[in-house]
Amino acid sequence: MKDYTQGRTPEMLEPFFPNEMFRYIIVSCFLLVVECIAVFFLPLPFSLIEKPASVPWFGLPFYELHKYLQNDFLLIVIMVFCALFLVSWPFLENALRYNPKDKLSLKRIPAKMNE
Amino acid sequence: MDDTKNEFNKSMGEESSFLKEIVEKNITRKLIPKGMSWFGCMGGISLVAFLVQTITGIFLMFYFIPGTKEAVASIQHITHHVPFGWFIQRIHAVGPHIMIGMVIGHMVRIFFKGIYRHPRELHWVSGSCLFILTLLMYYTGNLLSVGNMHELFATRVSYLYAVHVAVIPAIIGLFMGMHFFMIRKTGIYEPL
Ligand code: HEM
Ligand code: HEM
Repeated sequence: MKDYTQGRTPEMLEPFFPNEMFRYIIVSCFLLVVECIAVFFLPLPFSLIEKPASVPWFGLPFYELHKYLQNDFLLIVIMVFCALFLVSWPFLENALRYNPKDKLSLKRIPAKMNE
Repeated sequence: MDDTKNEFNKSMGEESSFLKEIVEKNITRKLIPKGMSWFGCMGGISLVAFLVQTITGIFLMFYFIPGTKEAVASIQHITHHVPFGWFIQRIHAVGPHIMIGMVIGHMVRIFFKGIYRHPRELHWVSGSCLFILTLLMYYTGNLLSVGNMHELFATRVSYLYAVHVAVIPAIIGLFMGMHFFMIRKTGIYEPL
């Protein structure tokens, strides 16, 4: 486990308990309030809606793509590629920035440039 | 007789001081860098949203019947006859939208701040797997409440049910364990 006190003066530190704990409690309460508000303001239909026909907001890009392509198999292939792209992004970025002339680019790019 | 009792008391004492040490090290005496951003809480909110889904999901399991004909009827029963069933069911139905919003927010923050870079590549890998698993949970959960309305999935409700309540949650648990282990290992990303 990382020790945050290393290389820091006491003024640069604060206690996890209660400070950070309190922040998490506040945001958790906020989340619960938002969920309750969403429950009360989203209509509750008496008959169930036909689910596959109603696309959630985060599904819209793929829905539009599907309308355009008209091909289930191709859509699934594209979705799998998107997933692989997302998962391997940190490594892809390194590969994209790789420049054989520049010795420095052989190193992995750190989050902080002076690390 | 007395000896075993003393042994017992002694080991209990050791146990509690051991626990005390863990609590002190990780919670009460733990120091963290000052000035963390509120947006850094987004991963924590995703976790709380997932816990809300789990708790309401377990309540729904008490009354939900994973059968072709029974699924929709049992959800109707939950929302109209079980005390506060409508509330639990609605929370479980709107929760995913909020959870997925929070997870995307968490991901976007990490993407634009470049936190996924070395040494945190594997945090990103485990995190993005969690994102995909969450979307799969949404998909399987939605099909549960479709029941006999969609003949393609009608016969597979019981399989979907097993996947939604057991298989994916188990995998999510595994990946969350990895995610949190690695975050503790490298420590949180702090601005200079
Ligand atoms: C169910 C979904 C997820 C949960 C519950 C979760 C939870 C968390 C928590 C609690 C933290 C620690 C502090 C913070 O909020 O920054 C964290 C950090 C992190 N997460 Fe996630 N996460 C999820 C999804 C993701 C996704 C989709 C990604 C990226 C694709 C991701 C990448 C990261 C990274 C790189 C960190 C380290 C941040 C730092 O060092 O400051 N996580 N996650
Ligand atoms: C990431 C976490 C989860 C997500 C995103 C999720 C999503 C969903 C969705 C969208 C539905 C359909 C609700 C509706 O419109 O009526 C659903 C139903 C259901 N879920 Fe989950 N769920 C999650 C976790 C769980 C867990 C952990 C359990 C059980 C332990 C569970 C048990 C159920 C049951 C029994 C139903 C059928 C009842 C109903 O549809 O109201 N869920 N889920």
